[in-house]
Amino acid sequence: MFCCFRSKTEEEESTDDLGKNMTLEYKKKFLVLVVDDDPHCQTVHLAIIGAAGGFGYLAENGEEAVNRYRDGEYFNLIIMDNEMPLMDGVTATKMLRDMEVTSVIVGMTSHEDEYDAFMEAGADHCLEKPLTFGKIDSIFDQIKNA
Amino acid sequence: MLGLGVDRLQADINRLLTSLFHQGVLDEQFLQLQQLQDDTSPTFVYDVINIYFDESEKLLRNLRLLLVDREFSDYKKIGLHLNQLVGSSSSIGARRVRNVCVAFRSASELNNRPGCLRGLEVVEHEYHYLKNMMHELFQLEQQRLLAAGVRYPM
Repeated sequence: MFCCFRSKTEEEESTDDLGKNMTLEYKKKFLVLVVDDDPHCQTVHLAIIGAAGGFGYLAENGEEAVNRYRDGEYFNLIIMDNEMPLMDGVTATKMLRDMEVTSVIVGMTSHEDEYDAFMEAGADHCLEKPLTFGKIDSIFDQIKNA
Repeated sequence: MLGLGVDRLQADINRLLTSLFHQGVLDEQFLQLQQLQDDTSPTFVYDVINIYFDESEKLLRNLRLLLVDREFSDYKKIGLHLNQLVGSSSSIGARRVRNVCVAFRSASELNNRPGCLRGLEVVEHEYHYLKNMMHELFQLEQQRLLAAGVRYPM
């Protein structure tokens, strides 16, 4: 049987350093979960997040978002729509806070009536759609400075 | 000659966009979409706008089916569809469509069926105007790319 224990070559050591640097760079980027059932909003929000320097992930409804946390995933930021099948954004926000999730949660609303419900459920912010570069940059700055 | 064709088409595109901004059909959110388009996603605006059209047409069809029913009473459903239209219209910068959807939504919150029917007609009118303008814009853009010798799958 071939023995795996040997000293690394110079090439392997430099690749390791590259790997570590890439990991550090990766960690500086925000992990953002977009929770929205609308395919159009999904596309635009993920594109804006990517262009602003974040890594975007998608959940199609509140239940999926909650399940991702139950499965051990973590995100710096959750962009949460409200009206979705299976579980709406306000309910999902409340459940995540009950699970002691500390990620920043931003409710995205098409109707001002949803603002109070999101904030009472534990959202950090509630913004009117659309998501813009200005809004996402402001949120990223707040997270960095927190 | 080739350069003049590209320049002329670019001028036509700029003129059309200026007019649409001036009319309030589009707002600055459309510019944000354009900023997201680059070499790695060269048809981003076209793709996003077409997803918007596909989804919006389903919503408008559903709204019409709900309202033509004389026994109709589910104003909450109307509100849900309109919230989605308001959100998606605002995310592409379709300001006039968004605004008339908000007005329509106000009528639905008052359970005002005649108001909702009028609101739907206005939304359909604005939506079709936007769609025609976007098709014109995409045609000009496609001609400009062809004139410049660029090929993108569309």
